[in-house]
Amino acid sequence: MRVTTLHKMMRGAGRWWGLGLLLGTLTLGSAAAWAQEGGEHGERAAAGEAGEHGGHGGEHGEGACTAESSDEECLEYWEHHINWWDTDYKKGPEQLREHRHMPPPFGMALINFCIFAFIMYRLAGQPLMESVRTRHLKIKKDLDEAAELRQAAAAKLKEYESRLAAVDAEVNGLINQLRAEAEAEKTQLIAQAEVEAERIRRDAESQIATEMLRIRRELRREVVEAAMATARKVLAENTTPEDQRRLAEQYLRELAGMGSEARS
Amino acid sequence: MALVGSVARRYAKALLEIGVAHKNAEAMGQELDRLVELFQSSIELADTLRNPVFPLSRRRAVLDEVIKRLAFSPQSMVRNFTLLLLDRGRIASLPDIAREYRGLLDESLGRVRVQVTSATPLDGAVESRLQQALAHQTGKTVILEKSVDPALVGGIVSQIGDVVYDGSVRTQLDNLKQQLLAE
Repeated sequence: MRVTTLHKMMRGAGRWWGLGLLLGTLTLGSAAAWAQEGGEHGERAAAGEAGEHGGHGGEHGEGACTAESSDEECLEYWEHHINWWDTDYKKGPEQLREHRHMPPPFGMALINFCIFAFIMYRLAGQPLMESVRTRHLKIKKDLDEAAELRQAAAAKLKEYESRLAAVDAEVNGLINQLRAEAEAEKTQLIAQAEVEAERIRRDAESQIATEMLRIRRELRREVVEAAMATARKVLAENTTPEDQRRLAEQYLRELAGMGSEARS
Repeated sequence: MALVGSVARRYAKALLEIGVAHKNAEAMGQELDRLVELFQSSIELADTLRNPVFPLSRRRAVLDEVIKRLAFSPQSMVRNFTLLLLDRGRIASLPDIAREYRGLLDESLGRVRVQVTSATPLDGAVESRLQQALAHQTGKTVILEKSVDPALVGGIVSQIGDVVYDGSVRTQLDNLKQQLLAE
């Protein structure tokens, strides 16, 4: 996988870092040399070769910086040449005139940089690599998690899509079921209402019959009671002492008869 | 609080035995009846004798004075008996004891009391014949306890204990009414 390859590459990079740095330095040096060389070719082309001078680049003919050259010429010359190793670049009474406006030696700066790079490699290389590795692992982990989330999201999306596809059918099914239930309930309610109506009708008939019977009995009772009250009143008003004696005689006869029955 | 029947019956039986021994059971019964009649006619007297707020000695004195005024016989045990009931807090049960005493006395003498109710007062001949008929019916000497109730309209009702001989016009009318309603 790409991440794994990158990880391996990063692990190998520690070993090759110093070599890369050295190659970079050499490349820079070559480029500078190439630039100086190119400049020299140009100067040759413009002023012809004027002979070599010291450890620095060629100072030939026009554009060269000699003891007789003006400051502008020396300035112009060093703008296009590199001082590799000459250390007479500081102004002072001991500085040669042909070294006016000479820049510090580039070779020494290059060596200083290499030393600096080596020290940095030795001191900060390991923690830097560790940091890079940790960051790499974190990024890898994040990428893995992102991939898993993406897969989960894709699965969820697929599930929702399938559900959405089934929703219509489910809704239709529910509607049909509700219609069927409503129809069944309606039928049941109608049946219950009919039964209830029949019960109410029977109850009403029964109540009417009961009420009729009660009224009839009540009427009969009232009639009988009225008749009895009238009879009692008539008897009380019209019973004579003779009637009382007759009743007493009858009572005594019945009492005597009861005594005879008891004895027999 | 009134005594329950069995206790009242035991008091009555004890008093009857004393009366039989002294051969004045009948007189003692009459004295008891007079005393009960007085109690029932004077609610204040009965309440005073029952009320424990009054000291027992005061209540005894009141009862003794009442008995003296009733002029019981000098040999009567009723005075001592009622004072005993007062001491034991059972003077309120005197009517029950008197009733039991009367029943026991009648039983011992072969008598029966019959409550006779008629619409109009009975004449002597009918009363005599009724007494004979009832004596013939019960086999005992009959004592008639007569009362008049015009609501009977006519006829006679006799009650011996729990047995009722009903020859009243009112009952005949009621029976007729029930028959008419039952149809």
